[in-house]
Amino acid sequence: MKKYLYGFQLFFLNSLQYRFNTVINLFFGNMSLLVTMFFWVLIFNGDFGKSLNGFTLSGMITYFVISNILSKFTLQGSGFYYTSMVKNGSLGSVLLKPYRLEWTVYFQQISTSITGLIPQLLFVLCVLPFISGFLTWNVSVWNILSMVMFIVIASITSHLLWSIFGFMAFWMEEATAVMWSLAVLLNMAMGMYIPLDFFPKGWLSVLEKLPFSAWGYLPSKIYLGLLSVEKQLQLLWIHLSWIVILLLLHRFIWKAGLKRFSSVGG
Amino acid sequence: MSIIQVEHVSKVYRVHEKPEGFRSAMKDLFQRRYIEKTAVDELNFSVEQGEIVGLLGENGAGKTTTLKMLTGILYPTAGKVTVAGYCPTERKKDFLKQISFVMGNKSDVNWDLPAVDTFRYQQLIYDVPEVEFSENVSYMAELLEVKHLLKTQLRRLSLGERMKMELINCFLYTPKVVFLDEPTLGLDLRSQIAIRTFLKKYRNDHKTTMMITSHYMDDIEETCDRVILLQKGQKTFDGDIAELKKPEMSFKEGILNLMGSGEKQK
Repeated sequence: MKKYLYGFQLFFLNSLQYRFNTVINLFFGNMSLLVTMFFWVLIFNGDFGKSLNGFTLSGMITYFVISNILSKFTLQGSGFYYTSMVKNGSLGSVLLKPYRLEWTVYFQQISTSITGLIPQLLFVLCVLPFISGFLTWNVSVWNILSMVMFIVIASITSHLLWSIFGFMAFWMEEATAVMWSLAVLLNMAMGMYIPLDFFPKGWLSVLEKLPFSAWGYLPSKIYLGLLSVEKQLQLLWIHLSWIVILLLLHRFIWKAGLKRFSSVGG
Repeated sequence: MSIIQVEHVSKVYRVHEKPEGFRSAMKDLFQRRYIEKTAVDELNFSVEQGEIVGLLGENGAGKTTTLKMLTGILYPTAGKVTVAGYCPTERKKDFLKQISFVMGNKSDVNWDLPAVDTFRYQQLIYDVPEVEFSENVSYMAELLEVKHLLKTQLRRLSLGERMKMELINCFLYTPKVVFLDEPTLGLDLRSQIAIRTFLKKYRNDHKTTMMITSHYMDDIEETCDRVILLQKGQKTFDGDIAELKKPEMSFKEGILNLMGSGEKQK
């Protein structure tokens, strides 16, 4: 475990090497969140008493603040890491390391998430005095505990699923266009553009059982107190099962892909 | 028993043939043509413990592909490879701890951090005890004259200095078998000499088995005990370096002669 944690630390240090980039990221990397909030204030006409699909204006703004923060734990980078490594052949050198590559990539991506999370939290703290009136404060021990469980599951399932997408590069060489298209679809399926409650009723019952809902939608709903404990436990088991399914799929596709790897570039 | 055993090994790549011109490129989107390219053809050889073997051949002769099959990065299309008693493609942890692969055109040391940080990471990955780590770094850094540069960000170093750091990184855990693919590529004469001196001294001190590919004949002449010549994926010569050092011609002329007669045979 020590080597994975050191890899995490190294990746973290790496991302702090460029101070200017970090500062710029702090100020401009979060502008989309403010735009989204403004957008929902317009939709609700500034009316705090109004409710849309179970969401009040403050609930909706809180939903987006939380899902934006939690989306950092969606390890999309794992997929892009594999595609670039396969494409430029540098996967060859990491294959020679006596470690579990999937764990190493997981910790590297978590490190990137935390590096991205710090400026985001700083930004939220800076704007908090101005937006605190728009937010719903619904903190309970169970909610926080349940959210943390879903965040851990989200980081694992997103890492596994995005890695599997990244393995497409073994067959396609250039898979980034497909990856970006998938990113848009998955952002929708995880409730990043709009809460899943806005989809037709039948869709919601399917979407909430898919791994993507844990990447943003479910933890935000749990925080807002809009999901019963019984429902949370039922979904927890489903999402834990996804880890097993994705792990098996990950191993199978990885082995098949390696046989096709041509390790280009010298 | 030989530490490296290669029996009837072949590697065939399936390559997409890219057509010329706009019309053909559009047609290619729907109907692709693939050709089979034999990179290594029925290769047989063995290497004894402590031997330094030079793998020679023109560009595209199959040298790097052979090294990549020996390290387990590539799966052979046919034949059997055994290194240190292991099948390389199984990538067993014990096997990976015994081999190292230095790639002249690819860096395994993190560009954004001082080399010593990568060495620490390598120490954890390969479970190198602290005393052995300090001794190894100090021994190699002195031999390669880079002790004062260990804490400098890698991107600020010259190509030769970076290559020396690469060597330290690859030899840090005292591997039994080291594969070096053009370790002096693009380096100035002083750095080339330093690296050759290092390799010879390291082998004498540790009885490490090495396989080297290089287009610089001095690298081969000064470090290797034996030479294997590859031409279009086939072995056309395998013998002691002394056989090629004759009074009537230089080593380079001997190699060129061999290449000529190899071509005729083929």
